Amino acid sequence: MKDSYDAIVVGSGAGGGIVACVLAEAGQTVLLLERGKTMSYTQVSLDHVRNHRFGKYGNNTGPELEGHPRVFIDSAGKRHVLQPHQGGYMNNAMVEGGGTLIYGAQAWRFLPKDFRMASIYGTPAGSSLSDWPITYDELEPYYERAEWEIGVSCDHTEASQFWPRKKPFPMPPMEDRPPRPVLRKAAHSLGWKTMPVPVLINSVPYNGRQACVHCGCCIGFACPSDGKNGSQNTVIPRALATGLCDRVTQAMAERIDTDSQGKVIGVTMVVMIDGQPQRKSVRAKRVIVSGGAIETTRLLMNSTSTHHPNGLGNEHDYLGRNLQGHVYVGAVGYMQDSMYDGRGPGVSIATLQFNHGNPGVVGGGLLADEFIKLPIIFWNSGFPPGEKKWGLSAKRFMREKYVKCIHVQGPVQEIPNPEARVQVDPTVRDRYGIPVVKLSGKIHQATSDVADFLREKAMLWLKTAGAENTWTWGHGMGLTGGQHQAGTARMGNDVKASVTDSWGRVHGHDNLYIADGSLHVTNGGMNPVLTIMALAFRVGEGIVANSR
Amino acid sequence: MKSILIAVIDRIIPADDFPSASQAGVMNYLARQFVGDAQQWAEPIETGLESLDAQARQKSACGFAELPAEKQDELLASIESERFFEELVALTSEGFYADTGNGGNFGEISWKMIGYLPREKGDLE
Repeated sequence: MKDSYDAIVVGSGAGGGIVACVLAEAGQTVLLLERGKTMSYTQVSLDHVRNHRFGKYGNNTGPELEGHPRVFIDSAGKRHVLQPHQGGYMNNAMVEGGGTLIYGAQAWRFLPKDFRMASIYGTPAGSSLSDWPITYDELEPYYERAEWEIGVSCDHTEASQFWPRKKPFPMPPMEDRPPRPVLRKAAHSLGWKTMPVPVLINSVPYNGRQACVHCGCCIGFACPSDGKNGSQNTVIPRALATGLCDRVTQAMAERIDTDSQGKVIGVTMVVMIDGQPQRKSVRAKRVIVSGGAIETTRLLMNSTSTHHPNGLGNEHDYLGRNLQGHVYVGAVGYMQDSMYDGRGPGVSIATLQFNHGNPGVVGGGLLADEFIKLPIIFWNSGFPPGEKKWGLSAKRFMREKYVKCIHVQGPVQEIPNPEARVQVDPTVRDRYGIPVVKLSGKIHQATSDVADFLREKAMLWLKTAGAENTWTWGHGMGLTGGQHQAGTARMGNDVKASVTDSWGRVHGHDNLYIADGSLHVTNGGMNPVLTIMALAFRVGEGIVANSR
Repeated sequence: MKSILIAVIDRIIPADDFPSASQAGVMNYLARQFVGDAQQWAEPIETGLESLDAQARQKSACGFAELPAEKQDELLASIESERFFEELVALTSEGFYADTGNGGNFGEISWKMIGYLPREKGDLE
C-alpha cells in the first residue's frame, strides 16, 4: 500500500469492485479496501447451519461473531446488542466481493416506472416516496454494461415484454427446471406474462470462466466452477490487471479524513500489518464509499470534524434515513410429482405482472420460484401451520414433500419512510474501538398493503398450477435491510431530502462519492444488485469525466 | 441422562425403514453443539429431561427411557410447547438433516431418505 492514490474505494462488493475497475482502467491509481478476507469456494465451505440462508450458529463469510456488534431497536422500542448472525443485525457478507461472492445472483433491472414512483402514485403520508433524479432510459446503457461485463444469462425476447431493451443478453437463459413448465402453463392460463429469471451465472462458458455446473447451492455459498459472476472474479481482476489498483483486505475504514477547510483528503483505516491491527492514514484525490447502505452510513457518520459535526453528507440530518430492503411474501404448495432434480440454481421462472398497476396499492413486486432449499431449511420453514415437527409424521412429511414442494415468492417494493434509520451508537464499539450502527424503525403501512396483495397472487399461481395444501404466512412490520439493504444516502436534486447528486457525488463535496445500494431512492420490487452495478458503472464514468 | 436423551430424540425422529435420530448420529451432533454454538441450551435441556423423567416415574413404575413408545409420545405431547423441548426438536432435526460435517446425518442417510441430491461439485464430479 502506498501513501497516496488518485482514488480510495471503500468496499469491494457489487458497487466498489466496479468503480475500482472503471477508475483503474481510465488510468487512475486506486486503493480498494475490503474489511473482510479473500475466500475460496472451499474456505466458504458448505456448512448447512452457518451460512447466509440458515445462520443460526454463524455465517461463513464474515464478519466474525465476536467484535462486530450492532445495536437494534425493535418495534417495541427495546434495545438489543446483536451479533452478526442474529436477526435484526441485517448482515451482508463481509468478504472480498461482498454479497456477490455468495448471492443467488438474480439480475433484475428496475422497471421504468420504478424510477417514477411518486409521479405515478403520489407520496403516501408518512413516507418519503420520491422519483429518482434519473430515468430508466438514462440508466439503461449501464444496465447493459453490467449484463455484459459481469455476465447475465436470460432471454432477450421474453425480457423485452417488460423492459425496453437495446441489446440481447450475452448468454442464453439457464436450462429448464421441473417447476418452470408447470408454472409457465399456470401463469399463461391466468393471462400472466412470464420470463426466465435472469441470473449473473454463466449458462455457457463466458469471459474465460466455466459455465454453471448446477450444484444447487448458489445462494449462501460460493461457486464450485467459478461460473457465478461477482466482483471478485470479474471487475476486481480487471482492476488489478491494470497494475494501477492495490487491493487490501482485512482493512477497516475508520473515518474519512478532511482538511482544515472540510475537504476530503483520504481515509484512516485499521489494517493488518505483520499480523497486527494498526492504524494507517492514506491520502487520495477522491474517496468512493461502497460499504453497503448500513456500513456506508456508519463510515460517513463517524467522519466528524468541526466543519462536519454530524459527519459527512449529513448537514440536513438526512443520511441514514429511508433504510429499506425487501419484505418477502410467498406461498408453498405440494405437487403430485417431483419438482426436484437436484440441478441448481432452482430459481427459474418469474412474472412481473404485479409490479405496477395493482388496484388500491402502491407499486407491487415480482414473483418467482425459489432456489433449491437445503434440507434443514425445508425442515425449518417448509411445514404448514398445524403440521407436527416431531414424531414419525414429521419424518414422513419430510420424506414425502421435500421433492414435491414448489415455493413461489417475491420481494415487495417498499415505500420508504424517514424513520427507518441507520445511526451511530457512540456507546457501543467494535473490536477496533469504532462506534457501531444503531438500526431502528419499521416498514410503512403501504408496504404492508402491497405484501398482502402480492401474497394472494402467489397463492393463486400455485393453486392454478395444481398444488395441493397450498399455504402461506404473514409478514411483520419490522425493519428490513440485510442483503438487499438500500436507500440511506439517496440520490436527488433537493439537498435537504437527499445525500448525493444524480452522479453519486455527496452534496457539498467535489471529491466524495457513494456507489452502492445507499443511492437507491426506491429499491424496486426485485433483487437490487444489477441496479447497484449499473449505478456503479455510471458513478465511475462520472468520476472519470470530472477528473479530466 | 444420556439414555433419556437418546429415548427422547428417538421419538422426535423415530426409526422406520430409515434410521432414528440416534442411529443417524444426532447424539454426535448434540455433543458438539452442547459444548459449542448451542452451549446455552445444555443446561435447560438437561433440567427439562430430568423433569420429564420425574413425570414418567410419577405416572408409572419406570423412567422415561423404559416407557413403551406410545406412552413416551403421550408424555412428550404434553410438554411439546415447552421451550426446552422445542429447542431439542430443532437441534435433533439439525443433526439429522444438516451436512455430515456437523457430526450427524451419518452417510447422508436423511438426504437419501428425502431425495436431496448433494452435488457439491455439480457436473464437475
